[in-house]
Amino acid sequence: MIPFTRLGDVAVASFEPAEADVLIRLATEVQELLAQADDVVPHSPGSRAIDRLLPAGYGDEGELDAEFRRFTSKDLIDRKVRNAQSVIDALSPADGSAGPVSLDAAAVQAWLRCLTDVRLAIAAGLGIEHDDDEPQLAGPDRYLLEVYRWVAFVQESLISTLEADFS
Amino acid sequence: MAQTLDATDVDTQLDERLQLGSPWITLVWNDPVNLMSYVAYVFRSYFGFSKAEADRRMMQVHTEGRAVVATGTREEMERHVEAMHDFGLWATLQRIDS
Repeated sequence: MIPFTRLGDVAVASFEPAEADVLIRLATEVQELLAQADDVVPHSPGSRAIDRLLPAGYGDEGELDAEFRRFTSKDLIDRKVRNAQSVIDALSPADGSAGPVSLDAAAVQAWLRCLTDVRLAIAAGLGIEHDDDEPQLAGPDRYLLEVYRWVAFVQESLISTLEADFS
Repeated sequence: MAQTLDATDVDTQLDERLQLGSPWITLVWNDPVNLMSYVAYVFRSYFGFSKAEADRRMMQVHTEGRAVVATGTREEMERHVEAMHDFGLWATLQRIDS
């Protein structure tokens, strides 16, 4: 991967085909998770991920949270699904060629949010709930943790291209 | 004739404003997932904080577990919380005194 850099009005990066496949798969999994948001089994990894993607608005675990969710979750899900689609589309050129990814301002915003959602979903699956949970993971979770950290690297490089917008 | 406000007048006006519908706050909570640079970016780009102010509140979230990022009416705070959830941040709203 060549990390994101700023070229005029766009952010540009290059991904190896295997890296693009991983990001497409993760973004697709977020979409699939959101599509079944109403049907997840309570206290499963899926429900923990949904709780992070669609958090409580009041934290009262009662009437206020339920009402907030009723009024906001559908639009929130729609936007998150579109953000994920923006990532998938940018990594799946119509002609099948693997070229550099070039993101305009709107696509950058979609990517920032989707990369966050991807990491929230992975973290829920790995049980990362506190600041010092990461280093204790071992075994098969180790690979997922590497992916989780790599997505952070991708996001960090994208954030670094945005400093120019503030000056 | 110039009108001046002494401190008592200002306090009274503030009290009235708080009673008239601004007693809600938006809180952002610490989580182990979101990058510090991302949280600071969200605070800068969405709330319009300066870099120094965004960094200060981001560090407050990180070290104290939460930070107040907005004060206003309940409707305004609900919009902010939804926007934070859009960014993937963990935010809630509550009454200022609860």
